[in-house]
Amino acid sequence: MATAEQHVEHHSVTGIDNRKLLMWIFLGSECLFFGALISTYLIFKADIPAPPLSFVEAHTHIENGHEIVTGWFPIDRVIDDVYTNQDGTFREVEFAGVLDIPITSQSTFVLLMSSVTMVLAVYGAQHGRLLMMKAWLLATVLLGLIFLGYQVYEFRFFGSEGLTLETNQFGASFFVLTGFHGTHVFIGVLILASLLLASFRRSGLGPEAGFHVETAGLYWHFVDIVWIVIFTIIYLIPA
Amino acid sequence: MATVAGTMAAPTAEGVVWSWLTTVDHKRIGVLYGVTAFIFFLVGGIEALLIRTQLAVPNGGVIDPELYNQLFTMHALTMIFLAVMPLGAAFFNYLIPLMIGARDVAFPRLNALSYWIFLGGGLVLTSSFFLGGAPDTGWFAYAPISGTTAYSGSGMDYYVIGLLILGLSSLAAALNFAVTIINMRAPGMTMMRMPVFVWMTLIVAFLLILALPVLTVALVQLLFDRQFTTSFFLPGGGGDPILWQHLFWIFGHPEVYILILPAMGIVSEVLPTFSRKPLFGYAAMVFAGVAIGFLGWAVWSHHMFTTGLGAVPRVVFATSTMIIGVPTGIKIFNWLSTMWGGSIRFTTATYFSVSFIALFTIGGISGVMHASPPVDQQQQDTYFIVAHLHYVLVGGAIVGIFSGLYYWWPKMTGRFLSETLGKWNFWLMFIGLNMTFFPMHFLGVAGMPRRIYTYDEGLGWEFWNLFASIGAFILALGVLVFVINVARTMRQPKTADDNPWGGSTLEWATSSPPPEHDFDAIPEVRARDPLWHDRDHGLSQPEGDPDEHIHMPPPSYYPLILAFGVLMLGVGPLSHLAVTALGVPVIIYAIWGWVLEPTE
Amino acid sequence: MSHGGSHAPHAQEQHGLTPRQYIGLGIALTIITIVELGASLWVDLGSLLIPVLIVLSAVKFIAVVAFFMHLYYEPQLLTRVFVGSFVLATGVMIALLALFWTDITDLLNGV
Repeated sequence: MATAEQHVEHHSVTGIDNRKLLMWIFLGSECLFFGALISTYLIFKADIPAPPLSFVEAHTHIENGHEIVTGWFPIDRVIDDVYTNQDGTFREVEFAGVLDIPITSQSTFVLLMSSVTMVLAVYGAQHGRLLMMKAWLLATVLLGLIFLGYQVYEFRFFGSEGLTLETNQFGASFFVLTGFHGTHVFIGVLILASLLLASFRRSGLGPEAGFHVETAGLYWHFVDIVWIVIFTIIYLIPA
Repeated sequence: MATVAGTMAAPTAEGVVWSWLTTVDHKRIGVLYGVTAFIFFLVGGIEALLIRTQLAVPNGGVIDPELYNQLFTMHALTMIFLAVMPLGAAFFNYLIPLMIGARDVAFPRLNALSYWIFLGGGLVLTSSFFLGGAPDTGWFAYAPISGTTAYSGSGMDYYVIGLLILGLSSLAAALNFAVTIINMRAPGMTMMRMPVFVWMTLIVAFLLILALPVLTVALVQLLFDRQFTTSFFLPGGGGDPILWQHLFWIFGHPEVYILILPAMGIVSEVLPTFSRKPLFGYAAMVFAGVAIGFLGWAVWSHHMFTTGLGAVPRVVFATSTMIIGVPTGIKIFNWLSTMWGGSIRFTTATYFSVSFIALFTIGGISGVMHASPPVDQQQQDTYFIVAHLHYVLVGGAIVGIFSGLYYWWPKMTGRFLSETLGKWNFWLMFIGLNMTFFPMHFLGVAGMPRRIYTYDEGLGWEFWNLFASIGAFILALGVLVFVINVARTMRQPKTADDNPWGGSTLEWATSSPPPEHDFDAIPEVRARDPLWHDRDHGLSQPEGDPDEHIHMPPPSYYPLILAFGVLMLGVGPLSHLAVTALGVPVIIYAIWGWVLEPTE
Repeated sequence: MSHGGSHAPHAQEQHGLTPRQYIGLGIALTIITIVELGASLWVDLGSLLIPVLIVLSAVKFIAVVAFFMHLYYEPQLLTRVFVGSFVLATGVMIALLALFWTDITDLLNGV
């Protein structure tokens, strides 16, 4: 047989299926993609000037002759400081971090669980347990959608607090980095949903079902490990 | 829905046009790449001639300054992304499966997709000339000029979109070739028996796979700066223009090796054949190529010595840049040693390959000079740099590619290019390019800045500028002779036998041109230089069974449709976002059809 | 490079963990995440915090790649490809960040 795209296993020199090899090399490429985005974020994180210069949204009111400034600081730490204005009055600055770690921890947990459901779907597909495969594929798709829902919520919340792409370097690099991650999740959801739909055809996913689900799973897990890195770098490491 | 998409009948190979539009044959895709890239090479050449005409005499006014800026930018982009890279891809496509004894690449339809996306990206980039002006910021598009619509016109948007589309094409092709080389080798073709050209292709593929995403990120951030008022690279909004330079050159320096390694691979095939001697120091050659691929990642900041990197980074990058000269030197000495004591036949291909060694050495040495930051600071952005890079890209990459064209032409077409015209072609190009680029060293040291629109009399630049401009036209004449040679050759009968030059690699084991299925029987590889080994040991390659039905992947519409969808996605931001919205269903339709299409 | 025969074909092969083990690994990863949260928010580790967080996420990362993505059971070539790319990405990131830091310190030192 000379067809290259099918029956590849018959003449793969390394014993690795062509498509699986392609996926792994592609994931290597993605390492550089997210590496460049994360680098940008970290470079600008070092550049963000100290408060009160960098506030995202500030409300000022005068209280007992003191100027009280409250608002959001990009990084999740509460900042409480008092500055002396030139006219001798005080300027009290109270900032809370805009990042909501409890909420994001929930979405992180959701994505982590989706990796577990994904690997169970792969297990089902590889062992011919089609119902198991379909059930866990469905679970993975749903968890992926829930994660995206959290992300939409977070983006909208930041927007309502005045943090957008244009606000500052934090906004720009945060939205582009997590936005690209979200796009990857979305594409993963589309791939898994397509597999799920196709598995309901009379022919199912065909004789290579295990293989298809496994390769899609590689992509899905990679998106999960990117989030492991992003969660640590953006949410857990303080300013 | 699935059935609707799935019922699109597979194309029948009737009709010349449709058979080419739907082909998944690596040889035909190679030819498409080659012809398209050569046309872009001519376009880039015309841009260069306009530049040289403008600079021929002081205070020239042949073209206006705005167009001049567009021309030097587009000359670089055209030559790098639309000529040299895809000419390399043409050789990969045509030769890699033949050289490793396979019947096609690992993913034939993906291969077709790469070509069609490349064509789309090339057209987007070039069309900018007629749609409001081409990019005009130099090919590396330094921020902040590139980052805001106030300083650079819509041309920059074409730059961003064009390079994103071309990057997608290169990524798909590189993934395909990496998998093909790793997985599709014939029995006995171990890694250390692969022709050096295959090795260089593998290294180029990995460089593309790893470097392109960094460029993609930089381009997307630039796009956001221009379209969504972020400030990644704009100091006014807190951004950092130096970050663009870093990201660009993290991609840009591996890109330099992406351009030159295929030519090095070609020369490593041509010289042994015409010296009738195995390549000297095969393992060292392979190791040097791999070392260049690795070190290419550790030198990017030598493009940025004048940006105030600080003392430590300067020392680090100066050192790494000097080290990368070592594997390059190993290659040069190995080529010389390959010829040493050989029974050399001086064909046109040999001429080009031998001159490659000399010209590339000049370009390499002027390159290592810039490893020294003080020297670099003197010569940064002068014509000295222009001289250096053209010795590497014209004297290196283009001369190597011409060597490959003369060498493999009989294999690809069954016809020999005329050696007489070939020698004319060689000497005109050789004299022309040295006349054009050597005096640029003098001009650079005399202080002439690169990209300058014109210059006054009395600066001492007149003579060498005129000299260089005359040289450019002689170089162009040489290319014209090649075109004439091709036109005449293609009207000759096919006279080439399987192995007219006595080559040692597997592509010479099949007919010229090869059948659609490449080999009647998959070859057996018993040693490096398999055909010479077989000849010396009285062995023969397995014969094909005439009754065997060799099943090749059928042609497909979907690569073309998918590439069109991708093109719509890209054209949207340049015209109307509705085009992007319409592109999405096209892409979804194409992917469904692609997946469900039977490939048996 | 060995030929196909020495590696077992992938599809129906009994490799990797059992479903029970996968779920156990998922629980372990969740616990590590909770520890990370604790280290970041509730305990003051001082200068140890960042190394601790990096080690913990590296453990999660490696666990997912090795077991969920089966890399541990695959031919070595795939490990080389992926780990090589990852190391390159990390190296380039560290170099880039170091360049931006050096930029500032050298300015301060007047170099």
